[in-house]
Amino acid sequence: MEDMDIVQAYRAHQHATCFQLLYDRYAGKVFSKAMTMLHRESEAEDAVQEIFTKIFTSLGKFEGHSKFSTWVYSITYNLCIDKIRRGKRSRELFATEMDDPPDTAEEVPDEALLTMQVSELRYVLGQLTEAERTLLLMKYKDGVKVRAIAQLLGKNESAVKMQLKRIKEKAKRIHDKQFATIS
Amino acid sequence: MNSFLALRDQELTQFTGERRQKVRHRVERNLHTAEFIASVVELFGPVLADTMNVLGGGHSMLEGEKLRILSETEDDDPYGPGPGVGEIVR
Repeated sequence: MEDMDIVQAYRAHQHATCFQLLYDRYAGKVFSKAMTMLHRESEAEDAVQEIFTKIFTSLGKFEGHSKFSTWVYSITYNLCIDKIRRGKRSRELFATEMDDPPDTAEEVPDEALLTMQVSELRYVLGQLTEAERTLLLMKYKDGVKVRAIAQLLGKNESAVKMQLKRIKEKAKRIHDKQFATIS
Repeated sequence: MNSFLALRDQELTQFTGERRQKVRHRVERNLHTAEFIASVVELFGPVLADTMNVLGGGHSMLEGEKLRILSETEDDDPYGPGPGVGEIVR
C-alpha cells in the first residue's frame, strides 16, 4: 500500500491502523535522522514523539506535491534545527567558517570514509565537533543532497561543499592518526 | 555496505520493541489531547467569542437567531383536541 493511500485513508477515517502503518514505516528512519542532528538518544526519542505528533496534526496540509517521505524528513530536520536553536547550540552548527584553515591539498575521496569499520567511524565522529559531525552524517548516512543541506542550514551550496571537504580531511587525519599507527 | 549505512542500520535496530511502542503511545496520547481540545474549541468557541464581543460592548452575533416558541408555530396543536373536549362531565 502506497504512503499516499494510507494518508488519504487516515484523513477520511482517522483509523488507528493507518496511524500504525505510517508510524511503523517511518519511526526508525526518523529516529536515525534525529540522531544525526541531536546525537543523544533521549533527545532523539523526544524528537520522534514531537515529529509524529506534528505529522499527524498537520496531515491535512500535506497536498502530495512531494513524496510523503520527503515531507516527513523535512519536518524532521526543521524540528531538530529548532531544537538545536532552542538549546543554544546553534552558533557552531550554523557558523559558516570552520576552525580549520583552508586546505589546498587534494580532496579526500569518499571511499576513505566509507570503508572504515563502524567502530572506527564512531571514534572519528566522536572527535569531530557537533557541526562537523552533523554535516558529515547528513551527507553520508542520511544521503541528503548538498543543496538540501544548504537550504536547511541557511547557507549557500559552495560553503557547504567547502565545509564538507574540510571535514573529510579532518576525519581522515583523525582516523589515520589513531588507526594507521595501530595497524 | 559502507560504514555510514552500517551505522544507520545499528541506529534503526536501537529503536525497536518496547522503546518504539512507548513513543507510539506518547504520540497517540498527544493526538487524543489535541483532538479533545479541538472539539472543545469547536463546541464552545463561537459562544465564547460572542460573550467576549458582548462584554466589549458589541452586539451579540446570536441575536438574529430567533428560536420559535410553541405558541408561534403554524401548528401549535398538531394532534387536535383530545376526545371529550367541550363536553360537560356530570
